[in-house]
Amino acid sequence: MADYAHPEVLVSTDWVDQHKTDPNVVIAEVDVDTTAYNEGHVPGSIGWNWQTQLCDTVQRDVISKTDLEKLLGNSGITNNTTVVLYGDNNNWFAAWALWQLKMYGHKDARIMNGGRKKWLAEGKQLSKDVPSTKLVTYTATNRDESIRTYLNQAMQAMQASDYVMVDVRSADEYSGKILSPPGLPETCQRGGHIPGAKNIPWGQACNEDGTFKSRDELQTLYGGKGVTSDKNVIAYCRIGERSSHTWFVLKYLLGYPSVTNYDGSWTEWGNLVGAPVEKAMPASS
Amino acid sequence: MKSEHFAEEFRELHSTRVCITTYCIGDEFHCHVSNADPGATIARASAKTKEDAERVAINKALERLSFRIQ
Repeated sequence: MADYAHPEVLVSTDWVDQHKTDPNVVIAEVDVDTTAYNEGHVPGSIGWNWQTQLCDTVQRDVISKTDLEKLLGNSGITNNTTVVLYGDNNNWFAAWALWQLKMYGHKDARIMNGGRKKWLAEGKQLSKDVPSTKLVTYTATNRDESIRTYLNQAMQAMQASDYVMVDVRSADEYSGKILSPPGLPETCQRGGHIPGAKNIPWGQACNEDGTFKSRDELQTLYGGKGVTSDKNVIAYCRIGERSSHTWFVLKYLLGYPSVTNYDGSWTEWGNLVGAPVEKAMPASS
Repeated sequence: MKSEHFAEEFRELHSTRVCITTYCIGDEFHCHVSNADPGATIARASAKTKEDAERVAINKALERLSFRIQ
């Protein structure tokens, strides 16, 4: 992990095993499948539900500053706590949580490399106990919108030569063959992608065991498709969670200076009246 | 308590490539059926045996996938 641009944001399963009782470390599991935590989790870890705790449940938006302060304070997290996030699907929603923590200025947030899958595959200790947490006060900063892209910005970026958009959905979603991943609800009226966007499915950044690929492999993967550090990069997917995983890879593992997550993503763009849509796959694909 | 017998297997269900993940925690087997790409869970089940957990999860997944292609 030392080769990454910011190796401090990634910890191994062994590191978590050794620090799971460290009073300055809070481990939080965030799963796509919100019931997975109850099967058994890293001993001492808390569980966060992305559908109810990491978003605004009334209007479509990320969690509000007030709600984040409550969530972290109720989880025993102070501004100086090391927060280690992990989850299923190679850390999809762990990355979504980290992106939001960073928006609100939390300094020390890390991802457990390999996520829940690696912890289970290694046969490490599990618990069904939900830890009791000490209530503390957490003070968030105002939201840092510099790591987020809104629709109007995405519209402008689509035509700008110093921007590159990366669509991290599957090839079939990108081409418009399907409107959502198999077995999941279709949330858009039109299939396809934002004109000019490069298709690099999020999972290509991971190894079989769920860990991230090496820096050299990642550089080849993204650089080979024109997603380079001299550009302003905007990642998007369907609802913004897969793209937060790619945002994490580009920003912290490769150290790209300007990377944002367009969390409105295809659910927003693919429902807009009159929005330009491209369906063709590039010749290189 | 530890996870045991962790296994992943790729199969086709209703022309969709899925990953079937099974493991045992304590005295319960768990099975998750996910679409292979991007990897989201389609169905899950828990049971006392691996076979039962797989059967129930796969049946649920088949239902959801067949509903989708109608």
